[in-house]
Amino acid sequence: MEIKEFTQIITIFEQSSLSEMEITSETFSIHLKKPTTNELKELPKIIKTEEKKDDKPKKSTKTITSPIVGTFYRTPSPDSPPYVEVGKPIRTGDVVCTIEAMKLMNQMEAEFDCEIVAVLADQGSLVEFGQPLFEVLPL
Amino acid sequence: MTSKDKVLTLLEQHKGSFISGEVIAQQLDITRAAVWRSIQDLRSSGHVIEASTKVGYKLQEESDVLSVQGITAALASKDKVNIVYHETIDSTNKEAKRLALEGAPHATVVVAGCQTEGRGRNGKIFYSPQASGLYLSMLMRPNMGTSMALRITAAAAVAVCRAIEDVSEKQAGIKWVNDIYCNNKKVCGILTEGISGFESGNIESVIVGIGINHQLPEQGFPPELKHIAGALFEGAVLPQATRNRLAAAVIKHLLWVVDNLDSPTIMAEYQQRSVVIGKKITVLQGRENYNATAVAIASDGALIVRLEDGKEQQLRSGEISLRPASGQSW
Repeated sequence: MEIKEFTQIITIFEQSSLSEMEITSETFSIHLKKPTTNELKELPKIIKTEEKKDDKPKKSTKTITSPIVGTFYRTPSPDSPPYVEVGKPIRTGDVVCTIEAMKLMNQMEAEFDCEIVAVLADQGSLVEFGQPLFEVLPL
Repeated sequence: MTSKDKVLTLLEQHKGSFISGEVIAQQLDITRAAVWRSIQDLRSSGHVIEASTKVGYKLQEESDVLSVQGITAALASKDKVNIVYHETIDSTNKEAKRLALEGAPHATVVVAGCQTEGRGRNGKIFYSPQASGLYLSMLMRPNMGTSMALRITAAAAVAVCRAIEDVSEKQAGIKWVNDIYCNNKKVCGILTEGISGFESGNIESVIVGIGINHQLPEQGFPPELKHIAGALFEGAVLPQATRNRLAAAVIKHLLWVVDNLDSPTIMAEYQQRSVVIGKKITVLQGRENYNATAVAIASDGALIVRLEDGKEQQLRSGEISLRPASGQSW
């Protein structure tokens, strides 16, 4: 089948009111389908959300988890302010929390500049190995 | 090093025996007048030095002014450490942390005779008066993950017990996690601080801070500590148990346990030295606190406790206090 004939068939199908067409001969088989009205309605929506994504290119956040079973502390001592606050940027080397286990007060230090997006554990609570502690956004 | 420091090194190396002024002058390549001035300086710093015109100078066995020279003289040459001494400091752990930030190597030891901001867990104050205690922090840079590093605290308690028994006739026991008791009184507290990467979980450095009540403080312990705190020596100090020698013994045993963290003998000794098994306790964990009975110590150092409803659980965090049938808890 020539390309020319093939183009003609497509043109006929497009101009017709048919939503689906199939032609089979000895040498070829062709199946054509138009999008349904429903699909047409949805299409612009999809485009819209894609555009939204493109407008604000966001770096993905990272979840910081507990390396051990222990007690989670957001402050260096009961009366002190927290090491870090949500929304504030922190630098590499800043302490974000203390996890105590077997009386080892383990301070966890940022390994990259980031912003604390969420604190996921409560002050003084027991945390499990691998439990999420912070959501951070690398800067 | 000043002449005074050099003279002290020689005197510490010959502690308890005479060394002539002439030999000191020759060995240090200084004048005999400089030797004499150094001796006067050392005496005014509290060193007890006997002088005899015929035989020279002798640093008395009981002389116990903390110094790098005094500790070094009592250490075996294989125990390689970098000792920093301060007569008074805010906290030896804080200083060790500052040195760690400057890149100080593994086995850096900070020793002080007095702490103005001695700390325990959670910012609690650790009473650290002058001239009666030994305050020592060792910076370690072990290449390990956080979970292995957890063994350091139990191992440090074993190391301090061994050191106390090396230099004194006392028997030392451990109240979980790592308070050291002699004759039912707390003589030593240990605060271990680690720094790890928040994503990798790798331990960058560990600082073991040890405070030992060597002698009773001149004014006694403050009222709130009286029923808990005790000292290694409540009277005369044995010549082999000076603070310098105790510091050296602690350093020696700490170095060994940290190199042998996976040794089963350390955990076996930790279990055997426990003074809490079978005792009624209060568990303090984060914001919670509840009563239980201490049952046993697990192979990783966790305390197995029986709750009042009969259920057993393992503690790997928090602290405990004992509830004696009468009197105050400790």
